[in-house]
Amino acid sequence: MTAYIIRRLIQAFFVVIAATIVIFLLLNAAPGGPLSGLRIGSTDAKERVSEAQIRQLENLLGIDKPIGLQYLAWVIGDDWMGADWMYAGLERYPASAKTAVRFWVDPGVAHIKPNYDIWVRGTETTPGEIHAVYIEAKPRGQRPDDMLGAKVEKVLSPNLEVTVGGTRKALIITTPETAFVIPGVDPRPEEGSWINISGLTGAYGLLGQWAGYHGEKAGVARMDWGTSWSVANGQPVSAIVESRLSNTLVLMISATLLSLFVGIPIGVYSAVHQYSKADYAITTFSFFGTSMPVFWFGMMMILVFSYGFRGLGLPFMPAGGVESVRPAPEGSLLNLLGSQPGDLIDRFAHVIMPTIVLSLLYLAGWSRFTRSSMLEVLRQDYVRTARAKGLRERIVVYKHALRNALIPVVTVVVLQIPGIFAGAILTETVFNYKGMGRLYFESLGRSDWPLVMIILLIFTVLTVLSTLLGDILYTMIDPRIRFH
Amino acid sequence: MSTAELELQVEPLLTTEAESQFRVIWKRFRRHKLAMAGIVIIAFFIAMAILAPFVAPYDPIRYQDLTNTNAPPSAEHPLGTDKIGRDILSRLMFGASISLTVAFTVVLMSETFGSILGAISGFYGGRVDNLVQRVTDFMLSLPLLPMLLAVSAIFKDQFAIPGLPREWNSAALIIVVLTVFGWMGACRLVRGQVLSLRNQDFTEAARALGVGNRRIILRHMIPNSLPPIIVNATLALGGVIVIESALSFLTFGVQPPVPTWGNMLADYQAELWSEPVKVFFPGLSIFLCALAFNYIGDGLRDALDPRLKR
Repeated sequence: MTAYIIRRLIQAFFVVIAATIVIFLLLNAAPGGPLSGLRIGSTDAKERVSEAQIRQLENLLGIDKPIGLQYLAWVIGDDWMGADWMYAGLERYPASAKTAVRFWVDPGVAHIKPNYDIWVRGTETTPGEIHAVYIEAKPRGQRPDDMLGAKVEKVLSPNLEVTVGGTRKALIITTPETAFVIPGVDPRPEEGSWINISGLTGAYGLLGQWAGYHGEKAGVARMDWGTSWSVANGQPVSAIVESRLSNTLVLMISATLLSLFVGIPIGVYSAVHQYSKADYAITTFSFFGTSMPVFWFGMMMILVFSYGFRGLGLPFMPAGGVESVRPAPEGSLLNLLGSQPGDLIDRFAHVIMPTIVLSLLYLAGWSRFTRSSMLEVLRQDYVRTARAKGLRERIVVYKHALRNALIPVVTVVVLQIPGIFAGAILTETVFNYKGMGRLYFESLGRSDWPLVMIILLIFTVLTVLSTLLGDILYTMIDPRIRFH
Repeated sequence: MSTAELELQVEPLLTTEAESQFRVIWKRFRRHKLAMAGIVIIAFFIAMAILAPFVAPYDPIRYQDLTNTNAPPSAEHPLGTDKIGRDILSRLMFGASISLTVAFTVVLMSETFGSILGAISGFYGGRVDNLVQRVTDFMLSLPLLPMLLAVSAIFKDQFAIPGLPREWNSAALIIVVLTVFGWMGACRLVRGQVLSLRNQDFTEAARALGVGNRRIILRHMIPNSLPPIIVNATLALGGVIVIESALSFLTFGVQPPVPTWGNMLADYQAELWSEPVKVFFPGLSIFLCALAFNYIGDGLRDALDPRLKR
């Protein structure tokens, strides 16, 4: 059993890795790349983004780099990756109880942020080309007296494109002999011996073109989810997701509970009273529920319980949102209950209709599944034996049959919970409910790929985990299943 | 006796046999009243789809009356007009042909692909089977709706089939995307069937006669696993109708001006209160189609395999 769980865990891990690759490739290797939307954009030449601007943006976002490295940077970050020029040394780190020797990498020129000034000593052999002997990078305003001022425009490893004195463009050509003084690592730690490994990682080194890939991302796996492009420009994705997650969880949990506590009992009732009128009604309901386009059902709910009730002068429901913005209008349900915007009743009233809409599909599906599972069990010999013993029907049904009938139901329920999460995309969109689903819809619509990738990854991890949990639960609660 | 003569003699036998089997199934199917009702509903929508060009009062895309936009239902426009003055009833009728074409094409393609892959996987076993099953497991472990949305959003502006009018590209894209994410059910189903059929006597007999693997798969494995595929495909039709309309509703499916029931819902959502009929009928059509396919599937299951009936 333990071996089985471990094997499944390893499988799940690889599935998640494969899924990250698929997600990454989808969003980055699509024809035209993630910025393709910009290229099509407007037909008006003035509004159109120029190729140069796109190049610049690609450079800024790091998407001009090889796709494999981009993927690595997305997953585990690029703050550890090589740079144009590097010094490596062995340094003793006293921090944290472990006095370990750690490989220490000096990020080099690629680390230079935009608006950093770099100071160059060199000879201008041909106009516009400076062969650098000595390069030092410093934040603005610390100019050494004897040096020429230049602003970095672009790092074209192994060279730097700079503007000198604000106007003149120049190319600074570096050679392995060029000396560098890099901010943040100066002075170098006293300990350790310093080796220049630019021969390996530098512009002329083995990694050649991949040098210069140093960045500040920590990677998705290290919980650095990047920043949003357009939905909330510049805000960290993690903060946006966090602000939406609780709303979705409330919706999801209430929908799951509703489906469980209504779906399973009606399924059992339907099976116990097979071919009764109630059974036909429940079966019909489950057919209707599984065929219903939930978004349309949501609209109809709004039409009836918000607009319709309002027109008829009945206490009407809020049509959408997470909570009221203004005090509830005269005659609304919230007004009758005396709720204030943002209080518990207000929140609750806003969740009711989305919950019903979201749970419909699962309520119908689970009741149908419970019914057939229950019918299967009720035909078994041990149920007949229990009856023959003279046990009361209630005990036969609830103690003997139901317990066994629920085994497959549990698995199906666990397997489908991520579906509820994903189903929230439609429900939240219809009800304008600010949760993860609506966030996903918005970020897709506005091509906010960092956000899209994270949410897609969250959906995938949830799906994989629930499959895992479903399998493990199944083997745990059903003693008939054995694994070797 | 030559082979041709032999075939001639055998053929009438085969035909009557097939016919009688068909009749038995049909007889059983007819008893399922709701499935029969489903057939009537689907027949109605198919008729609407085919006849749309002849009976629809206006052209669904090109007719635009800019002096009469967002009109309420009237004698000229029984369901009113939309924001650029197109006739909603005509769009609803043409929407049937788009939605049904997409659904039938997707199901045909994905079930065919899935069945062939499943048959190969089950028939050859070993490494091929392992690979196919890992891929199937992987595809099934991806969250369907978010994945569909992402893929169609990304390729929305990229996808183009040469020779196809531009506005139809999105419909073609949806067909491709739904097929790519829709073949796994059929694959698993057929694999299971083939695994049990593979060891049966008639397969042995075919092999003893020197029939090649390809022919065994195409002539014995797939036809013998047809009944569950037909049921699966019918149920899938309902699923595809709903999911295509969901994608179109979220604006990542079939793009306007081509009308589908899903994108009509998105277009007329703003008029939910003022003109609810505009939203009501597209949604009702989706619902009825899905319901009808589900009932037909249920009826077919009972008819094709009476052992499964509960």
